[in-house]
Order: sequence, then C-alpha cells, then structure tokens
Amino acid sequence: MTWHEIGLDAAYLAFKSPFRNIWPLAALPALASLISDHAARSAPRAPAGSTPAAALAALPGIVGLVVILNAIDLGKVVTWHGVVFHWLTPLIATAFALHAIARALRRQSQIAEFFAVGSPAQGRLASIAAPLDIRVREIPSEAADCFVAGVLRPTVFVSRGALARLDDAQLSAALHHERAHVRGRDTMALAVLAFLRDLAPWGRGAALDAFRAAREAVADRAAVRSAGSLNLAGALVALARPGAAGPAAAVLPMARADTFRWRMEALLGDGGSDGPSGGERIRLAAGLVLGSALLAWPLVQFQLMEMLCGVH
Amino acid sequence: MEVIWKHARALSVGDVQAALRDQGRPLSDSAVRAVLNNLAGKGRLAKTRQGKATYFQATATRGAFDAGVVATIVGSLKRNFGSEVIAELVDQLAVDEETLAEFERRIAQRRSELES
Repeated sequence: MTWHEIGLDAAYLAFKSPFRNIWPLAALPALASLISDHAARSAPRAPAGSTPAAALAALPGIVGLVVILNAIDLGKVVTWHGVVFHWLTPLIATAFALHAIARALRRQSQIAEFFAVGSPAQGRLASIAAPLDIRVREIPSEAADCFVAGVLRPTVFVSRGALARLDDAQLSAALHHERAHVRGRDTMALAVLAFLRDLAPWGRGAALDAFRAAREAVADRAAVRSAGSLNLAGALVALARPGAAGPAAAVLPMARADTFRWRMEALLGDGGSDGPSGGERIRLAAGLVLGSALLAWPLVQFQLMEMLCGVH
Repeated sequence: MEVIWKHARALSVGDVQAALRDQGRPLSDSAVRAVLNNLAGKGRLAKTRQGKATYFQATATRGAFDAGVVATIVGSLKRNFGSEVIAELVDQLAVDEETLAEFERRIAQRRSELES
C-alpha cells in the first residue's frame, strides 16, 4: 500500500465514510472554544462588552449544535452490521445533546429549591424592596448571599446573613443592582449560554466569564445612578468578607470574588473605560468571523465528499 | 417535621397522629410510625424509648435545617456546574482582609470628601 493510498483511505474515513461526522462532534466545538477563549480576552469589562461577549460565549455551542444536527443522519440501514455502522454517530450526537439538556434541567431544578426554602420578604427587606417592583425572597442562611435566580420569574434572594451585614442604604444599592439583572433578563441569557456551553464544554469558558463581568458592569451602573456608588461599594465590601460564600455559577450573585477588585476600582475610581480599544475591536471581530466560519462545516464537508466521490 | 418543630418537645406516634388529625390529615398509626422511623433513619429525628412508648424529637431546629438545605443546594450547584466556581474560590483567597480594609478606607475618604 502506497502513501497515496493510505492518504486516500484516511480522507475517505474522515470525510466520506459513515463515521465522517464523529470527529467533528468534538473537534469543531473545541476549535470554536479555543477561538472564543482567545477573543474573549479582548472583551471589555464594561456594558459595551455584553453583546460581543454573549456572541462569543454562544458561538462554540451553536457550532456544537450544527455538528450534532449534521451527525443525526441515520442513513440507509439494511443489516445489523449497518445499524452499528450508520447509527453509531447519531447515537453519540444524541448523547451530547441529551447530556446538555439533562444538565440544564438539573440546574433549573436545583434553583427551584431556592424558591422552596425561601420565604417572602418581610420587615426591613420588604419595605426597602417595595418601591423597586421586584420579587424578593429571604433565604434562611447565615452566609452573606444576595443574588438573582429564576429564568421565567427572576427573583432576588437575600440571605439573613446578608441582611445582618448591610445597612439600609447598602441594602437598597444591592437591590437596585439586582433589579438591573432582573430587568435585563440576565438569568434567561445565562441559562441559554450555560446550555450552549454544555453542548461545547471545551476550553475555559472565558467568554461566559466576560459576559457575566459585562452584565455586572451594567447592573453596577444602574445601581450607582439610583443609589450612589459609595453605598454600592460598601455593600460589595460587606458581602465579600470571608465567610460570605457566594452562590454558584447558575445564579447571578451580587458579589463574585473574581470580579470584586475591578468593580471596586470602577466604583471608587474614574468609572473605568467604556468600550474596547481599536486593537481589541479587531481581535473581537476576528474571533467572531473565524468562529462563525466553522458554522459552514456541513457545506465544506459536502464539497469534500463530492471531490472524494470521484476519487475513491 | 412541621408537627415536631411546632411542639418543640419529644412526641410519641400518638401525639403526631393526633396533631395531624387536628390539621385535617388523618393517618393510620402504622403510616405515621413508618414516616417517623424513616426520618429517624435519615438522622432528622432522634428516637428515645420511655417504657413501651417511643418518642421522637428533631435533631435540628427549623432554622438550622433550612440553612443546611440552602448550604446543600449551593454546594451541589458549585460541585456540578461551572468552571467559574473554581476561579471564584481561587480569587476568594485573593480578597484578603487587608484589601477589604483598604477599600473601606477609600470609601470613608470619599464620603468625607463629599460631605466637606
């Protein structure tokens, strides 16, 4: 067997055989994640970063969805040998999709438990939240938690520990911050992006982090306009003290330690930059264009198959 | 558990059955006993014997139980979802008391500047 024949056999296996859709299931979303992670480094931690970061965060998952749909092709099945031959790839693709759906459902069922243990706001919390027109629940925890959860009915959760740490002005600032998340439907966006991330769980997920950071900046600005930067800064410090274990990735917490420093600098300093620089814009655009190009994979594969048909 | 917490003392099967009946939820002796034994098996209730009677008492207050549930949910979310949580934990070490004190000092300074 010559090198030419080995090359043709490899090309047949990769682009024309019934297994041609197996390797793109992992390879293309992984490549898209790599591009997304790299480009997301240029996304600004400012309101202007929301849209590009969301697009970059969604891209690997959308690529994943395209290759999964492309792989769910049952083909012609005549024999038992054919069942394995033609259905192995669709089965693996379906498993990818079911895994993401199962994780999304599990995440939402765990968030629903917050609603079960939380009680309607009363006393000081209720009176401060009343003018803001938001759903607020108090959770019986001594940790300093203040976050938004819930996709269809986004609700602000404040723990007893947080209530004990925040004075009235700080609590009002924290609630204004959370109201911005509620009005921005950030939990809905986060749920969609987290689902897409589960379809392409490769790389660091830097774009999702950048999106969250940008949304925090949006919520901070809204809270500053209504409640003052010093009250919000005071609330962040109170919630960031050791022992204030913030909630996890599936909810939008008031104070995340990894965003704490730059948010504080933005609140106490000059407010930070508004948008990306020229170089950052180019890197963001290049990442989006390159990542989007991967969506054309089914067409490229079809062309390669056409080419190989005449050869092999 | 609601009945046990409400009474804040050790209750017999008959006590729990009577309390449930008063709430309009009549249950048989064996059903109540099975549920109480099940909760004792899970560590939610402590079981003691006085003569022939068995008494059940909550091992944690309502508040401590709810706090435990919240901690379990948050812990489970952290374990199962998101590499971001790892970043959060790493960065939590970076937000030390010194940094917090420095930010508090700057907040106080800005306040005094605004007031003067």
